[in-house]
Amino acid sequence: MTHPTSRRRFLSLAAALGAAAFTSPPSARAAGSSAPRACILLWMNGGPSHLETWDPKEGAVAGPGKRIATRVPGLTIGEHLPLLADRADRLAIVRGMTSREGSHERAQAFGHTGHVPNPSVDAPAFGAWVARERGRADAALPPYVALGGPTVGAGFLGRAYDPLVVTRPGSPPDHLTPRVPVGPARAARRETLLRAFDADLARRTGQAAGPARTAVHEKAVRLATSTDARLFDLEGEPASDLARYGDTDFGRGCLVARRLVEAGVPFVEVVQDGWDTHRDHFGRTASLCQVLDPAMSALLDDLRARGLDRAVTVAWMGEFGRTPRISGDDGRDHHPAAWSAVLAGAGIRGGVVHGETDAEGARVVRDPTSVADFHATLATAAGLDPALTRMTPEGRPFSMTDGGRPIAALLAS
Amino acid sequence: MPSPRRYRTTLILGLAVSACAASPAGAPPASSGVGVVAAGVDEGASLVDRQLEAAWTAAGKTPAPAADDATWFRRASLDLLGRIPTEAEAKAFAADARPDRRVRAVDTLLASPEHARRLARWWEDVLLGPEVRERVVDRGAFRRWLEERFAAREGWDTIVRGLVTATGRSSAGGRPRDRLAMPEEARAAEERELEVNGAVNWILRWRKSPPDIAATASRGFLGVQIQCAQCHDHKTESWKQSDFFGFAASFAKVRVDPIARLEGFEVEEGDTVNRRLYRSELFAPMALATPHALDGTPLAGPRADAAADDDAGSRERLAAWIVSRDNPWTSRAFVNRVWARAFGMGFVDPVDDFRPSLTPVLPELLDALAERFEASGWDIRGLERSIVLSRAYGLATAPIEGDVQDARWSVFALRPLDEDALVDSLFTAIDLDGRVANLDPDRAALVRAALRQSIGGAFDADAESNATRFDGSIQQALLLMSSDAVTAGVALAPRSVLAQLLEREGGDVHRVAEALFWRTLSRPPSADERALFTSLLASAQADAAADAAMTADGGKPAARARGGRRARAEALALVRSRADTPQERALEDLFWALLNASELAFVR
Repeated sequence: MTHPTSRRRFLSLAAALGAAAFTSPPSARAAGSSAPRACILLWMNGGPSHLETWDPKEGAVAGPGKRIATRVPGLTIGEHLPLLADRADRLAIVRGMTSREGSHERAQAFGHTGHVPNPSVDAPAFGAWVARERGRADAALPPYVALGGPTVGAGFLGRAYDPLVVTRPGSPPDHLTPRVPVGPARAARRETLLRAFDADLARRTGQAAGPARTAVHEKAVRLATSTDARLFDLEGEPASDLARYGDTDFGRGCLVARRLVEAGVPFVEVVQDGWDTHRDHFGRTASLCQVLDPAMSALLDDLRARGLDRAVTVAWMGEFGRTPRISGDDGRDHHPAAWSAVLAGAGIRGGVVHGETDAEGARVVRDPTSVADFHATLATAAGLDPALTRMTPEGRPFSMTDGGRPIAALLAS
Repeated sequence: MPSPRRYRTTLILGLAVSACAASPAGAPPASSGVGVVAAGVDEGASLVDRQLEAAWTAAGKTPAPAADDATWFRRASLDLLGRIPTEAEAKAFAADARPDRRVRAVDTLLASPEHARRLARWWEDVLLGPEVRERVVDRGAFRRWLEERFAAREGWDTIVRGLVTATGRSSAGGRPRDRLAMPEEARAAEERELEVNGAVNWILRWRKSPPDIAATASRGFLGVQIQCAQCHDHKTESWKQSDFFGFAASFAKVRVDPIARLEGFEVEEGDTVNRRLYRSELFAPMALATPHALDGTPLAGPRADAAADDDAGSRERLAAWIVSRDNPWTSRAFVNRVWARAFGMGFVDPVDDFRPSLTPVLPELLDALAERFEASGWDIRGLERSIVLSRAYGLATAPIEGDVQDARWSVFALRPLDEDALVDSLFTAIDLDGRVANLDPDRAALVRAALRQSIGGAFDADAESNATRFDGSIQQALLLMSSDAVTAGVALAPRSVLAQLLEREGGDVHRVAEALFWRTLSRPPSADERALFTSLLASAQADAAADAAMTADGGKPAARARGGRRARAEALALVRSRADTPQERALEDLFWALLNASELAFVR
């Protein structure tokens, strides 16, 4: 039983310090409105082999790998992607990706930001840019979510656009609630106390940094108390849905990604780790593909079934490809000179292949695509201006795509 | 404020209510640092005061009033030790009525081993960048190397020389998990036995992209972003690509060889340029360039000075140039960094953005401090002492127009705690040592390290530019609200902070509440805050039945908790509260709110 007078006194004293009483805030949803534009990045961490996925070859370079026909006449892909082969008419395959960054750390930053790492500018991830343009101030869910992260952050755009990293896709974000909850009445009293303290600090110091911090705390409370937070949790999801995606971290991540974009999150990244196959390349690549194939296929199917394929752009990429040469450890090493990436969904022309590598997959021989151009293409498909320049906090102009130019062949007309 | 106020000042005997906490900014503080310092106890501080006061007059700035002693002491502890004061330290300083208490306090802080560690962590961060998952670089060994130099009061010039010319072996590898559990002393002993040179970890950190060694050297030691010229001639300055590669070329003979699998690496200065560098088109220009310094001084080949040692490697010659008196950057860059650490913004902001076309704010003051710094034998503590004892460092936090640089430091700017300080302050307040005392020592060390790690890493920030802006994420807020470390820290349980305080204070919840303010905010509660706690008690009493039901329920653990079975059981035991009265629950709630309060998260 609660006692109205003592609660009122507590709240009025909190108010004396300048705080508004804490009540659970309502969360906004883009209800009823047309499907919001969004982007899903499937990030293949470690550097996926182009030779066993989107750019298979024949002869010694292929090792034991085989290729299979797809729904697109004349187009073949790696043998372990049969479901995607059947959906190739929806994919735009970029076979001419090329860069100079061969170390994971730098290439991961490059792939996510579109900018060569440079300590003097903290370049934002593409997802943070989308979050900056598309995030809604009244949304409970954060505008950039990374499932199975970690990933690259918002850089100079500021932590408001940092990804919320969910380390175990299908479960709620870590620390969303305490391991042992205290119950709603105590939680509300804690918030009221905290607001009183923060309001008092703001009054005493008169500087903006204090309220800026309080605002972030309030966003965290809004997320933690929102019904939308349940979208992260797949407990109770029909087994058949999980089975279509594959009951793997990456599969669950793709399913959660679908739920999040439906709820209005403008950018979701799903990470599949393990592509750094210096050893046992063929065995591991086959296993990875068997996880990737159903997950990405189910995602594309669900987006289409919900009419979201006209609102959501999907990108598949990693930091580089793998060497045509098969090493003594039965592995392939880092190969930034030639690799593949894939686009699908909103704004993308399906069933096309852009660029070509030589017979070994070692060099790009036609239509090379830089990371900057890939970013510019993705931006265009997702409805952003690829020529946008923003100012860094130090007042330097910063081209969001590093001067990249969208590739018309990949874009829907 | 229209609401009624209830003052409760009689409960705590012998403690004055802090004027700072109870009165709006601008009211006269209870005690003031002015006069303490002006007595000329520190010439550097007097120099800063004279020049800043002149600048305030010239710019028409009225300085903020002086902050009170408790506020100054918290600032100095955070900046010099990297954590809030303990309850005992804060109370001891508050009880010190000697006129020279601030001077005594700063000298004690500067002499603490924690200060050397604080400096070491700072430079670990500047030179190695944010932590990345990898096995080759032993950040601990690097930090210990720095810490020993700082503890021995070596001059900055000597330390820089040791870094730039580092050769020798790194520590043995091993599973990161095992190393996490290994005590510092054991690791240090192992390093001594293997004759490890921890400084080589800086070279190892950038072994895959050698130009970055030069880039961090330039940014870290010279405050110059010469790496902008790596890809193209600098757009706004006169730096050319050839300047960058000439500077980087001094590092082109560095050789890094594995000793044996998992046995560490040997870093040497080779006789010839590292052949690996030629293979990458990104790095080749570094191998082809002739080493020279940023001002064009050649660093290879014969020297004008006949007595000079022509055989000295170019890293040796680069190091000598970096710390030479002719070099205009090194001492200024260091002074600027220390100033920015203390005030949130340097004379040059970002701190690594010295360039020909940019005039620092108050260049005379920067020059004078740099001059003193060099003349003192690059004495780091002397410089810090002057800044912390200056009038500007002791000013109150008050409304500010523009940023603190615009204000010419006539106001103290709120500054979010850096990651190290935040984590260490949090753990100073929640002190988990008692909670893990029942585990075996190895396991306890692992649990403590894991809890720290769960929070550390999430608050990493770019420390190079204006540090007075708050830039935080939801993820960080959630960690402070709901992480196991915080949940366990506030829980009343055997040997917990609250259990110890309740015992000490004979079960007087008001005295415990007061102690919690000291423990977190380093000050006593204001009258308003005392009244708020009293009404919280009443409110908790009224809600007792519902709250107890939540707790009796076992506080049902969140579904599908994280971690393996053993870790889950251990974590659950750690966070479980035994609070079973409304008063106890109210204390937990107060502790939680204080740990999450912005006042804790800022240097104020």
